[in-house]
Amino acid sequence: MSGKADKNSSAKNIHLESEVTCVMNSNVLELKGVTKRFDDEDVLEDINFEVRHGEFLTLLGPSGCGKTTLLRLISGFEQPDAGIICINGIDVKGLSPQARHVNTVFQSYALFPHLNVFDNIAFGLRCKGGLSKVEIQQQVNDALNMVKLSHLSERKPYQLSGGQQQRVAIARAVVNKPSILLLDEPLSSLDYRLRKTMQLELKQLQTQLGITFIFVTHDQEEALSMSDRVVVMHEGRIEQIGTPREVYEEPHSLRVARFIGEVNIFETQIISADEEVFHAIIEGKEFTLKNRRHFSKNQKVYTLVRPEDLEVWSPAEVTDTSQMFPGVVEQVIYKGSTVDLMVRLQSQNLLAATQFFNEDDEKLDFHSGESVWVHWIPGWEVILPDES
Amino acid sequence: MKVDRLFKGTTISIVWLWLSVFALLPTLLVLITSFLKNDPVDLFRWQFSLQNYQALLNPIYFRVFWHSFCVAGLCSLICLVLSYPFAYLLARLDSKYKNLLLFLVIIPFWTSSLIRTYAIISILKAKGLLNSVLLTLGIIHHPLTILYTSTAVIIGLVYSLLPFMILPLYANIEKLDTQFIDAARDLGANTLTTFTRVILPLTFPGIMGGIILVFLPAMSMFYIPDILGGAKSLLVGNLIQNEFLSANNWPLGSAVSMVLTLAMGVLLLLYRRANKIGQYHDEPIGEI
Repeated sequence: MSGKADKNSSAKNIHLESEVTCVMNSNVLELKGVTKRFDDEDVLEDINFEVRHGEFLTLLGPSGCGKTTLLRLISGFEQPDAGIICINGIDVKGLSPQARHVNTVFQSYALFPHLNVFDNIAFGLRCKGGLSKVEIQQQVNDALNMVKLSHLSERKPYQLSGGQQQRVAIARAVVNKPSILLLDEPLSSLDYRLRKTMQLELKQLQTQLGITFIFVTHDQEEALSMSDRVVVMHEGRIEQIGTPREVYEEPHSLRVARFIGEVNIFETQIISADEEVFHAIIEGKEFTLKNRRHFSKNQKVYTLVRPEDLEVWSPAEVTDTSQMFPGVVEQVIYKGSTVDLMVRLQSQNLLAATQFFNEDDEKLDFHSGESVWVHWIPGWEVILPDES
Repeated sequence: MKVDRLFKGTTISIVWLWLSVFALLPTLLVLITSFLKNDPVDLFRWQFSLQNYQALLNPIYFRVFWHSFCVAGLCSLICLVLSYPFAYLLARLDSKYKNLLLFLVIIPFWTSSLIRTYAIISILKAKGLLNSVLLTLGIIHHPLTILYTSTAVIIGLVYSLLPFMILPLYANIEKLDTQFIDAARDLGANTLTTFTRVILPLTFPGIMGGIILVFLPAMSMFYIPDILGGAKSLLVGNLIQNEFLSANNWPLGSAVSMVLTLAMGVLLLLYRRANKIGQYHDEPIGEI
């Protein structure tokens, strides 16, 4: 208990010394050392990141990683136990949700069941006050047009489909012209095709409005396809922040690599290392790899290769097998534009390999039980240290 | 499949039979009686007549109805104002305390309402608990005359009927999704706006439910005005009781009962409307 008190007071001290304060800059949101506890358990620990004006930022992580709590801290429904949150350069500590220039699209939309679509959207404008009836009418109609629901303005929420409810929820939030729009897994209750459509619509809307979006999801595909930057979270901490391409191609940790996309992981023994390169044994074969992360001899590391970076060859097609692994095809999954192969190596390691159909290699004709050679183009792998 | 239908048919028949015997039949008997002629010896004569309803047009009856209506209305309002904050807090409490408090609300039902009403006398009478406390505290200098006034009747009715307001309100407020409150605050609503524009409309079915359970009994609980109001406060319930037990005029008593039943019907209709207003979005499309 005393530890908790100390932490709190130290955070306060920092605040007083104005080492950590809000400054006006191009960031619409800044989080500095934000920590949140529930029942003495850290739900969020030392969260730091900035969001730029007009950015589409995604908080990605498995359920229970604290991303919804983080959203509630930004919207003001929860107060951080330590750290500060700045919105438009102003410390929002103690500001209630209604005083913050932030609006939320809730996971189950939370449309008011007793109000029709028009009144739902007008709710925020009417709360603000100072707007004439005509102005409210105009702005609500604009919002309705934007989400293409003008013809349903008299309907009650329960008379709408899931996708329509979703649009009303978005219109109800953006009509207030917030600095930041928070979206709490807004697409999770829609079916696959509708979700795809809404992803595109949301992205278009965001570009069109220029409002900063902070989008929470546990769907990595959604995160990659929509965001400018992704914040990958795990157990209340930020694992990595980066563009979709960075987090996919250059994961900072095994966790990020595993969570975003599929990945094949090889145990790797370093036999010798210098500044430039290191020599390592992977699946019994010797490799010379670039030493970008200053690994040293005998360090336990892992080599990560994405399924689409693995190549699978029939024994007849290959001559030099010194950098290839022999294996047996266990499963062939035809997916239209690609074929996914599951290949069992001699070490019992099961690999996933995605093969694309292309002009110079038309016969992608593998059968289960077939012996193959597996290989990747050197340099496409990612090497990460052991985390345990 | 066949067994299933047989089961369904039997179950529904039993329900219908039960309702017919215990609800429909007695009401029908009262309805028929209300259209018969009064007979001091045989209670009623088998002869169709509208004279009972005509008699009700007498301003005296109208005044009793109006008085009952006002008393019941005031009683419902007081119950609502007292119950709403309590029910709201109760619904938002930890389930541990929730059950205990609900239990405490229900405990008075274990004692006969009649006995509890007599107990109120000892509180309200000139040298009763209330007056002695107020005198001791120096708030008043002469004992208040509460007993045998309309105030006493209303106190008695509110006390007896309070749980009937709390329980439906609690049931309704507990179902209220806090996401709607979050959404209202997120959209910039202050506490008052959130309450009047979101919480109140969404708990309207609970309010109507409570009013129905309080308003109608308040009009017909004859023993409370009898015990606490003396002869001064006559409610519809007393009217019915008098016609049946003192005046031996069953047809007139039945007619009064029918009017009361009609009033209940209207209130139930209003309740249904209220339920439709507060309907949630998981209701099927095309209901209205």
